[in-house]
Amino acid sequence: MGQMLSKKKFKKLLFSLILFTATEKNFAAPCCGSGFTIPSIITSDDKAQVALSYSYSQIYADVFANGDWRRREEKDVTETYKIEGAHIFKDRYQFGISAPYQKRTREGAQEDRSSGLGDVSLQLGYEYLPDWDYNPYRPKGITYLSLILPTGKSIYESDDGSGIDARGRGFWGIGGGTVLTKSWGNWDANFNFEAHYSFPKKVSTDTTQGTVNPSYGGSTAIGSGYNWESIRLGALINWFYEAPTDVTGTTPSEGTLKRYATGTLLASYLLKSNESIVLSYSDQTLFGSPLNTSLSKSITLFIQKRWQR
Amino acid sequence: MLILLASCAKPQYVNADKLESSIANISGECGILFSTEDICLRTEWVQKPSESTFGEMNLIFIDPIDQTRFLDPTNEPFIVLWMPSMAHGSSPVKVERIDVGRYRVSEIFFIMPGPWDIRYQLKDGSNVVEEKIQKITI
Repeated sequence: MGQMLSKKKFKKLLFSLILFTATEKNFAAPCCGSGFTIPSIITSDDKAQVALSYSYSQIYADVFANGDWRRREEKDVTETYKIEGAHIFKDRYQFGISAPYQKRTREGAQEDRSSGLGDVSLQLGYEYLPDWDYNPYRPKGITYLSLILPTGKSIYESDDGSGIDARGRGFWGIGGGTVLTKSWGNWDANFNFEAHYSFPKKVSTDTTQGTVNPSYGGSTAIGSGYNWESIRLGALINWFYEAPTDVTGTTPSEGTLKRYATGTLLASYLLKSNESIVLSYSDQTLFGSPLNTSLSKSITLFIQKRWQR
Repeated sequence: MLILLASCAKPQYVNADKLESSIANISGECGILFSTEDICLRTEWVQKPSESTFGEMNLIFIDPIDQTRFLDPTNEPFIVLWMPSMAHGSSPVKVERIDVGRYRVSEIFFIMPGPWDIRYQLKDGSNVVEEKIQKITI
């Protein structure tokens, strides 16, 4: 029995790692810094976890509001170093924090580079659907609230208006969502849904004075993986939607909705019982019907350490 | 698996030639009429901008009746590059007066490809007195 639980726990550890990594995703708009971030959530039986990640992301194409695609000619790269942590309290509650540091490099007529803090996010989670008895059908469920702090400079505070130093969206944001996880034998699956709202912001630059009015957005992700021994291979697809952003003031305009999907393949390896490493490849050009966005391809290396209860 | 297959992206790539041809002057009989000052603006590209190069443009203000007569607008001419779909601008341009009614706009650059507005404004300080919009795709 002890051996069975140990095996299950092992799989759950792997599973938590995969879920964590797979959903840990910056929805970047290259002109405008990162978008909403799905939070780091403890889905295992651990009491705490800390993760460091490095991501290299390059814009491959732009998709206009009418659906036309255009290959990006000039290199535009974002490297992101991120530290994330989460801790359990009162048994079924948890809080977490995610802080990215970004380096952007752009070639072409406005060749430049910039680095600094991106948008920090805070999370509060609650395990509303525990899986104490390893039910064969019922998933484990965690709901969460997120608060996005506009700590990264946005395009509205860009020093020269070029946006190279835009590492955040510039808006306060709140969000909420749920994560469901389940494993059957060597297979596992996960589901995440979140919705968010970004608050209006008054801006004053050389070219515009007024109010930027973002609105609602959301994302849905499904993923699956196969585990054997210390290795897991998984895949995930994440659909993302953001309502139009309107502007009032000296440059009044009505925005256009933004949407895209990110496909991710990932390979994980359990270094020790409480340490994991993951390599993932994400591609935004493969799925969905993107509109009004830039599409990137990225590679992420991710290391996580966990502490058991 | 079915969901994944059904959701495969279907890219429709457009090339630079198509985009280049969409840049055109918006000139009527006298050009762009600013009714608040009863003055016409004609624009001409010295260098069209692209994804990787800066552009330059001449602004020529004329009398709508006697179109051989150059006039300086009472308010300050200004240009804003604006991407409405994403609700942000680009790097500021430089506007220099060359002669009576003649201005040179330089450092025109669009920070990403896509549909943009060139907003021709007449400003009194920070107040936009009148604005005309030209739509282009970069």
